[in-house]
Amino acid sequence: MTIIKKLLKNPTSLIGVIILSLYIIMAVGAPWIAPIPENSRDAYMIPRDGFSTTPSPPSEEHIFGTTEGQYDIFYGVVWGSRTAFRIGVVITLITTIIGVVVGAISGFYGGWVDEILMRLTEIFQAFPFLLAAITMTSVLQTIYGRGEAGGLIFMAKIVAFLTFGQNPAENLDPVQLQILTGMLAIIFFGWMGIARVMRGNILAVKEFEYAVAAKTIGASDMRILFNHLLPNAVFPILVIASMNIGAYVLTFAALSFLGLGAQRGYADWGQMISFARNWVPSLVEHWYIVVYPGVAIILFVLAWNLVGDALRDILDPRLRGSGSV
Amino acid sequence: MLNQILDVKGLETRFRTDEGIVHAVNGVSFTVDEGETIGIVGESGCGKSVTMLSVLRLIPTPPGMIAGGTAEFYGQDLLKLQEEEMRHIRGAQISMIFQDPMTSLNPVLTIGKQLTEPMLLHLNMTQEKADEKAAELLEMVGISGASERLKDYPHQFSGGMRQRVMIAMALSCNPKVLIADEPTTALDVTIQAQFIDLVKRLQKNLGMAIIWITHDLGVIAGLAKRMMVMYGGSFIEEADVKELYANPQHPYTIGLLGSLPRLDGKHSERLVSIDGLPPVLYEPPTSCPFAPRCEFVIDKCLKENPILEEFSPKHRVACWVDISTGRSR
Repeated sequence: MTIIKKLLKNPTSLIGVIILSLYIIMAVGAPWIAPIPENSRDAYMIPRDGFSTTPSPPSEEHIFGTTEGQYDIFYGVVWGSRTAFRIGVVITLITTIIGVVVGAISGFYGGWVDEILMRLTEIFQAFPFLLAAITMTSVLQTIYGRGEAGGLIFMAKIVAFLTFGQNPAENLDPVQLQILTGMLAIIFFGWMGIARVMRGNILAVKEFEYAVAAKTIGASDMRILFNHLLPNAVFPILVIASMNIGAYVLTFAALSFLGLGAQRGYADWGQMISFARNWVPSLVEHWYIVVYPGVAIILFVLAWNLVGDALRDILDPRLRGSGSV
Repeated sequence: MLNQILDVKGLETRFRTDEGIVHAVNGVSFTVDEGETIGIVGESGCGKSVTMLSVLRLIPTPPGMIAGGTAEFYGQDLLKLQEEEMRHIRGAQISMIFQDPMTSLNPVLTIGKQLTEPMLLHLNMTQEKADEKAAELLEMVGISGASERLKDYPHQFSGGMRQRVMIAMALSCNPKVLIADEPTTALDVTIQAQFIDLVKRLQKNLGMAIIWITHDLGVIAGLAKRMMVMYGGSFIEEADVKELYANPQHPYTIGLLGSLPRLDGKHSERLVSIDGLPPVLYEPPTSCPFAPRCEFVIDKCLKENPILEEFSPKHRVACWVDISTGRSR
């Protein structure tokens, strides 16, 4: 609770928290802010007002205008906040869990376990992140498209359950599947940073006497690791994770912009900006097709970074003595 | 005759390091009877803690390894047990408290959580019952407002109180043996006295045996009945406390006692220190490990390592020299 209090006292983080709250209101209140048209089959597909390719400027009917193909920008921006939260939070959640488990086991057991896990981590890190994600997305889309996914179906179903609340017993929705491939690709190449930080933290805390003390009362290895060491090592991870949410949304937007993330017409900010690719020479005239979704992304990422920054200050052990965290 | 509960024979522990294999414990043997208190003294690095950690199999392996010996606890060799079985002994049958109460409690878990953990692990208690018992335990070690304080974190406790919490935790499952690894070293003197009184009282009520490791001969004098002096990974003298203080036979013991201020001694006496540091043994000792620092050293000391031999009933010493004459025995 003191953490939240401090977040609200610090001016930078307060701005971050306010912006995030607005996004949360927008995401939760989407059906009221931008009502779903009656004939809509999927609320996340942006309604179209005709099929003309030329974007039309903001008007009373479409307050942010419409983009190429007459997709309503306001509707897309509002419903896109839901997509952003889902994607950012789920990717961060999964990468953080993978990273924490890999790093904790690596640091705790040391020796050859550490050696194998850390070399594996380094192999993954050797790929340039964005390129790896792009390649992986296209590979995954091909695999899933052919229906040869096998074990990968299982992973996609987990992600689908976490992201869309999709019942794992049902088949994957093709519209969602395209988003899932992008998310899986980012997850594949996104867990290493956390794993390394976690390993370092566990290495540091496992030398404390309370680790031995826990052993003398007869606790098992897993109990010591997860009940005694993890709570001492996990705070810096919170900081990284909160910043990662913004970063992953940005990466996913890049994938969408390249046509690999969300499907055409899906309420996703990156996907909306991709409509602007054909209008780069006349952006002065059609500014609204980039500015609204663009600002939405920028503020979203900025807010998470502000919160992450403030969290780092609050949780920094050197500054911690002043209060009681 | 009381029952013997722990019987350690010929314990050897080694550590593999970059410089070579360190022989930390070299053939240590001792027994513990039900409800008795024994003291193990010696300066830092002589193997006191490693001996006890070996018995509990808490030596990190690698680099450490237990190279030989047996440690029979109620006739069961602890050194041969499966890790799983060993876990049921630690904390439940044999428990341990450490030197530094500031670091041996986990800073992010409440006192209550840490105090109830051994009971949840070993006694199959429900959380509510364990909480109740934890409050009783805190009350027993003299912390008032116990049920409220269970919700507090370690940083809200002073050093002395934390050590009380540690002992409450160690005793929560009614162990047969309590190993105390220099538990008073980090406490200031008045708190030390309180803590020792507490331990005595607890022992009277609960009847566990105590193995008290220390380098402070003053602390152990009022507490233990039997005492072992350790040097270079072996016991070099073993006797009842009174006998040992009155009639020390090993030059090292004499040195230890000489470096201790006494209230009943002559006032103008200078405290004597022992020059040098204890050895790091890369080979099993072939000479007396204390020889380089010993003022009584004779040729035989450099050729052969003495073993514990009876000096008088219940008093054994490992030294080639009869210190009253300065010549070989």
